[in-house]
Amino acid sequence: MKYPPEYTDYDIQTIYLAGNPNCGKTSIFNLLAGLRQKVSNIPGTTVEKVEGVMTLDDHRKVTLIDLPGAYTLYPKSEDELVACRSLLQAEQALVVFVADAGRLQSNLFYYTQVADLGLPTVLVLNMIDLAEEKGIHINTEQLSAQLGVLVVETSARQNKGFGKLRAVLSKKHPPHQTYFAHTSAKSVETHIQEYKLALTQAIDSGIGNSYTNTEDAEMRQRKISDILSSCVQVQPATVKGFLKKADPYLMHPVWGMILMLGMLLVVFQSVFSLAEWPMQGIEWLFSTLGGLIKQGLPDGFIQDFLVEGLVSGLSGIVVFLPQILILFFFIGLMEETGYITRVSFLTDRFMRYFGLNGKSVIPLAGGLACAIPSVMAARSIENKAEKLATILITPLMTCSARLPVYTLLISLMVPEEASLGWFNLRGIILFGMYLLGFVGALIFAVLFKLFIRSKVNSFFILELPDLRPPRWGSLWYTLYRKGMTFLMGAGKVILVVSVVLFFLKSYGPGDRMSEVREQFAHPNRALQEKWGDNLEAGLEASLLEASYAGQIGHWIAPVIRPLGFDWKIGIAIMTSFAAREVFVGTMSAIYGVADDEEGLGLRARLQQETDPETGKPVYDFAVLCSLLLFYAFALQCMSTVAIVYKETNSFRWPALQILAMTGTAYLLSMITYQWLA
Amino acid sequence: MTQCLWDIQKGQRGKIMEIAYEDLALKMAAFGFVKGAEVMVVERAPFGDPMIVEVAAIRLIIRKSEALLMAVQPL
Repeated sequence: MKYPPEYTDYDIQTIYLAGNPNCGKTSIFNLLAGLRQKVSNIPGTTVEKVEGVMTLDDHRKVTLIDLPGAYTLYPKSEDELVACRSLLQAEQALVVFVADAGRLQSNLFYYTQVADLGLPTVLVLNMIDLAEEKGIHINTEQLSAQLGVLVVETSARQNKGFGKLRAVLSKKHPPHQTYFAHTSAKSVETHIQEYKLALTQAIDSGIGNSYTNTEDAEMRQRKISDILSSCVQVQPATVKGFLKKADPYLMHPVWGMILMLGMLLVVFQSVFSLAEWPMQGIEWLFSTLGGLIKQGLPDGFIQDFLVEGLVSGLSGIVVFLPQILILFFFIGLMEETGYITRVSFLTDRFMRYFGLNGKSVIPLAGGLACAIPSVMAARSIENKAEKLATILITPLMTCSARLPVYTLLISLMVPEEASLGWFNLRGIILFGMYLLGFVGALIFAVLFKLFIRSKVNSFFILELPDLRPPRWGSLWYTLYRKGMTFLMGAGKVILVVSVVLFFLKSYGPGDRMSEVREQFAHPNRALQEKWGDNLEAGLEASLLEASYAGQIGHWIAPVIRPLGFDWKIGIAIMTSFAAREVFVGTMSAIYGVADDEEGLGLRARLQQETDPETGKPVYDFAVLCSLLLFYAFALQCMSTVAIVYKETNSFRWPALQILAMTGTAYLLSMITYQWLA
Repeated sequence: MTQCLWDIQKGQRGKIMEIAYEDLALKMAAFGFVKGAEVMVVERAPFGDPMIVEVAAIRLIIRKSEALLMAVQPL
């Protein structure tokens, strides 16, 4: 790369947004790019690459790239490495450096490093309104002169300064022509070239040099202090506003804890209950669609495939959207206001006992509702090992899909009126299952950490942002992006698995299934006695038994026999890999019981079920305990597998997770069954 | 007399004298947490760890393991 670039025809094709985390960079990106944005993973990493298109004032279109937030060009985290690499390789690019006007000392540090790369640069002082509230007054002209850069003031919250920013971006820009850390008589060009070379070497080798050491950093900080003392005036700010007054309580060791638990309860409850209606709506919508297809198309393969495979698969994906959006609404709100960092602060010590950190609390709490959005929420954990551990243990938390399974099994286990002291026994067992999930998650965290080697010995330093009112616009964009990430990423995998499950359920080896159909078309005495008025349900049950899924159920029967499960449970376990709650539906189908809301019919049927050889009930206490434990630990959720694959960008971790969780489930169920039986 | 940052009480101030480990010093430098800067302990989590310190107009959450590596001169 040549410096300076041939600037006579220096057409800018890319604009990079760089800046510290929490500087409001993303809201500026959203305002400039609108919904024309694309999120993808940077190859070989789990870092998100956010790209958009921006139309300049002269109608030229340029690519806008939102770099991951960073504090320095001497990268210590994967995010920072990505930002640094992108900037070092940038060509025909303009850098828009976004700084939080209220924290110039630390923000300008990264700025001086970025500017020293010699790319055309514009400095944006964002959140200027909040800085002024804090009593910070910046002489922009002076700052611009001292740093040798164009300075634009903006406030994403009040939508101020964007007309000017657009106008500035549409101009032609000369390469940056000062070198901040100027120490010797060398020319600016030489300095910049040496700096870029030194940074590239430091990144590739992982060994620092004189451009990336503490002396260089301290020198930059001193120079920044000098500049700021000449162009920034700080008036002692008076504590005002509700948020400023509330902050000490939110961080307080006692009050903070109480408020935090309350807050998590609200989040959990909301994901749990607010999602109920939209989820039912989505299911209704897709079943209506399925019904329409059934009417419009003749019976046969295409109709079955469209209705049972495709539409129900799609429904199984979209149905998660309400929970994802609700959880991320709250997480977004907590991030926007800066509250999430206070939660990390309060819980860090406790979580550290298990090799996690303060930021693991949100995914774990969310896991009580649904593991899928919660695994996505683990993204905000910077430490790679702790992020991975959090992703791996989140599915152990008792999610809402386990609830129908637990309800059915517990209701078979103890009668409704049974109680222990003042408490209903069923309630106590259910609570015990939630506790088991949580404790299991913490134990697994410790175990998983043995498998995770972290290369970087990272120091845990977190910046505590000021508590501030949320930027709603930004929040909606986050929701949009999370929704799309889920639909496009995990959605594809879920769809494929659903279609595979559809084939397994609809087809069988040889002519077995058509034979069954034949038999039911002209039912003999034995069949009529067995099913009575329920011939329809009997047909369905028999077809399922004859299908590949039924075959696999029979095939795995010897494997699950030590757990006390028969081939019917085997089929239910296999099909409920789609989602745990499918267990109830499959059991109804196998036993030929009409699917009803409460599963009352199924419950009665299961209670009657006896072993044909011994005459004892099949669903006795030992089997029920064994099943409960199995569903508590087994990774019976393809959507979770898909999202873990997506988030860790490898097959290794979801494979280890399946092995560990389902293996534990198998062992625990076997021990329990053998001991109780 | 210098002290560990960890031993500074909530509400007390100090001047940063020394940070052990080049890696940590470099990371802290990006926040303006450099030798000679003034630091104040703002809050401590239950059992004291981690702690929140204020330096150069920003607040940082620091764990005990890191705070033990930083020497300050109480003011």
